[in-house]
Amino acid sequence: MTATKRSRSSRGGDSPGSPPDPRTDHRLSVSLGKLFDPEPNPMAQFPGEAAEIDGYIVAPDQSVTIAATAETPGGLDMIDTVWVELQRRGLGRRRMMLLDDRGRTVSVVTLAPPHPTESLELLRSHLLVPVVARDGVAEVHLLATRDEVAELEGKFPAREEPPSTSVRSGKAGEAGDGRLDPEDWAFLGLLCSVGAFDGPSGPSARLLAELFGLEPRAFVRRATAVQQGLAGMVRDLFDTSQAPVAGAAA
Amino acid sequence: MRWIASAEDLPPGSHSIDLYASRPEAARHMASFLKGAKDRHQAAAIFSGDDDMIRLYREALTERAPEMVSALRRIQRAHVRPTAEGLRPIDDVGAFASAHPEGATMCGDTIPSLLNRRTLSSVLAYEDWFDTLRPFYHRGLCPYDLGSFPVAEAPDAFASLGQAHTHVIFSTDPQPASQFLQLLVVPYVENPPKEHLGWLARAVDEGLIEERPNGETGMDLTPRGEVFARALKGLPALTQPTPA
Repeated sequence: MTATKRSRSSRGGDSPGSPPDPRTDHRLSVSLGKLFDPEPNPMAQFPGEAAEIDGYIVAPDQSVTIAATAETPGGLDMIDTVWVELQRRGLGRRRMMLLDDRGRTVSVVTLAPPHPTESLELLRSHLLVPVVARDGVAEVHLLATRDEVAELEGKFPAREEPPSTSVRSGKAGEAGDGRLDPEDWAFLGLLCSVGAFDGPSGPSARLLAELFGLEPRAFVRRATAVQQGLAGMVRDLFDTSQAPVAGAAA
Repeated sequence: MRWIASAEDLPPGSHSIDLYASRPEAARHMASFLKGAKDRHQAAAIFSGDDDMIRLYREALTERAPEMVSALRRIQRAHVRPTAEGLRPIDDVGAFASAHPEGATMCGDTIPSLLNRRTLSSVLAYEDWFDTLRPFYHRGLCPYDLGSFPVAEAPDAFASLGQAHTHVIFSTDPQPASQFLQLLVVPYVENPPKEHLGWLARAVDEGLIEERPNGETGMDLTPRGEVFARALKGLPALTQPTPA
């Protein structure tokens, strides 16, 4: 797996005397075949088809709920096939399908622990959504240090890709700094996909909590924490105490 | 398209977008618009199908221009109707405009109530058609509720609206979802407020908004920006404590 480094950075794994190793955006192409070893990769049946993972959440029992949307006409069949395989392996706990506000079919699947690989635990702090899976390969964006990328590289085969601007971390969030971290964005992406922000016609907090395997109060706490992160971003965005951008028109 | 701070200052011949984040703000903008009609001694008519908005307009006019209350006209539904050529003004609106070739101040406030993802293309086509009627001596105002504007379609919609209007009035309501969404209009404005340029630059820096590809004018929401915009509107409703 080879990382293509971008310029955005944040605090990372620095230690005294060692060169700085900030967290930067990395775009990686990860082969998903290993997830299904020793069985063939079911996605290989769908060349050219693509699906996008828009968000996820990890419940206290370590189950993972993921929202996936077909990006191509055959992408839904591909999602169906992968779901059948996950069920066969005893990993697929629950699946719900709904139409989003653009008329696209969203598959909301809950995977039971153990996950296909313990590397998902590594990914939680670094993975930036959305993730696009096409031709058995996932385009993965990570906010990570070189060491963290190297650790992940040891677990998946991959190939180098040119830089992309489709996913950027912006000013990176760290756990506890009041900004949104990658897992917060994944939670928001999941809520978006299931229509949670569609007003009165959207699912209630109680229904979402049940869907995600959370206690209702735990869901509200999670949503409240993310809302505070959003509020922090809003304050930074519209902070009128900062000087205008140089070169801005009068 | 030029930014103008107050609808009061919209000149004859203008066709302006009015961005608002709340109904009281919409009413304040309308009162300023009608004050401008009074100052220019121009006939005026505001076509509204919403009794609550008409009440808000009356309240806002009390201080600004109480004599312009007579411009408020209650209509049954929308100020536009579907025709074979697309949406067109209802007869009352057309008759008023025709009766004042010297120019009149006019607004139909019903677009926000019928605007959604399905009707958006029809509305944009209507705006394009309306703009073909210029040059005229009228002052036209087109209110848009930022709170209910389809987020995913906002970049393309604002690109279209930016080409079909002469002026824009930005919302000054601090509601963050609306403040963020209207940043997408800034690239189409010849003289944007300095603050808006700064905010837009920060939004780009945060990875929320990006330039359109291939040198095309305008900005797009990134996937993260779309999530951000929608979460700003919808997340508060999910953070209320659930009943035991």
